[in-house]
Amino acid sequence: MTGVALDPQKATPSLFRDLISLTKPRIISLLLVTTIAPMYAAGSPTLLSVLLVSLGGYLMAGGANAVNMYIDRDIDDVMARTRLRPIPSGRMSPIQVLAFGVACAIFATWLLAQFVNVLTAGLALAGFYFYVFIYTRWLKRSSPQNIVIGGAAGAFPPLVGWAAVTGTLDVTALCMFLIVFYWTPPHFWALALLKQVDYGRAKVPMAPLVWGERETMHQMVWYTVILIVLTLLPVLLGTFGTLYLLSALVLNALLMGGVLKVLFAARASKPWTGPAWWVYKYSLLHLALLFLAMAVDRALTR
Amino acid sequence: MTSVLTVSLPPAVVTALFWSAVAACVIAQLFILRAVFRTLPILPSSTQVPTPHRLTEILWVVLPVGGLIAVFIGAYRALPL
Repeated sequence: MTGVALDPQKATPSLFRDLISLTKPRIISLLLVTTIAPMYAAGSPTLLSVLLVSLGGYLMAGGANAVNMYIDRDIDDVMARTRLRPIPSGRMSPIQVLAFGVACAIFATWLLAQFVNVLTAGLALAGFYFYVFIYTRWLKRSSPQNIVIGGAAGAFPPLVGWAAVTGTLDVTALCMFLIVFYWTPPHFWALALLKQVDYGRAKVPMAPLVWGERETMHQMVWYTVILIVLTLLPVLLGTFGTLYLLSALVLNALLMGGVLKVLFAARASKPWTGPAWWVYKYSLLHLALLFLAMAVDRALTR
Repeated sequence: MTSVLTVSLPPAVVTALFWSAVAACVIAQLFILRAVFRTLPILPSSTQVPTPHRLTEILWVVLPVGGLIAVFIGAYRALPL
């Protein structure tokens, strides 16, 4: 006995823990909020349908994340924040990860098509393909618009949730899709501003590396303007009421305040990393609370 | 599907708010598009990251405008006037 107590779980992560980590559960939790909340905004789903859509959505997004880790295995090894993932750390082989990701996607497609509806399954699968081929395979390493266009992959969940309840799509569903789409740039560019060295080392053309910090901050402001308009549009249509309006106004004001704080700090040559971290973290809360407000508002006015 | 809040607004106000929303998005989108023209030429050639192709970049910026147009057309038709 050396007297050094090792935590066996931390020292040798189990296969199960690695499989879970391949799905990026923390990211998926937000995707599930933007899937389930639209279900309640669209109608009155049964608990079983919510559970089925959640499981199908988790597996589809988890599968996409696993395939993403397979494709990005070369750059994951040179970026500090991804170096401990199962492939670069040698705990899993690339082919195992690819097989797991594809299997998750196939099972999710079958589950959603069999027990929910074909449109829901098709939309979820479209999100998978978009993330894997358009974002990871094509745009991530070739364009500073990578997370803008690639953000569409993360915008599929509201369509999935809406289609699961209504069996169709309408202007409110499209509006929700665009809300997530236009939310993505200010969210990810806040992180990209902070992780420029990492992205540069991996030769990923994130906006701050291509356009510079100041232009990226300006772009964050313009994307936030469109995001705010889109979040208020459903109120104009009468889809959501006072509770949602007040929530959206407060949440949007805080987000725009944070984004402007980053820009003004940079303009005044003051430290902007603190405000950028705040924007990155707060934007996660912003999106989750915005979608929760949609669901609660509809539940109260129904 | 109509809330108490919107029903209480006069149609002229709803229309004005709608067009204000369109105007805000057009202005913001123009500034977004401007970045593609303004920033790419100053990308340093020594940079480690690959140089994006200008025409493709313009396409990627214009593409989401299609989604915005679709949602605004749909919203205009659904306005409670």
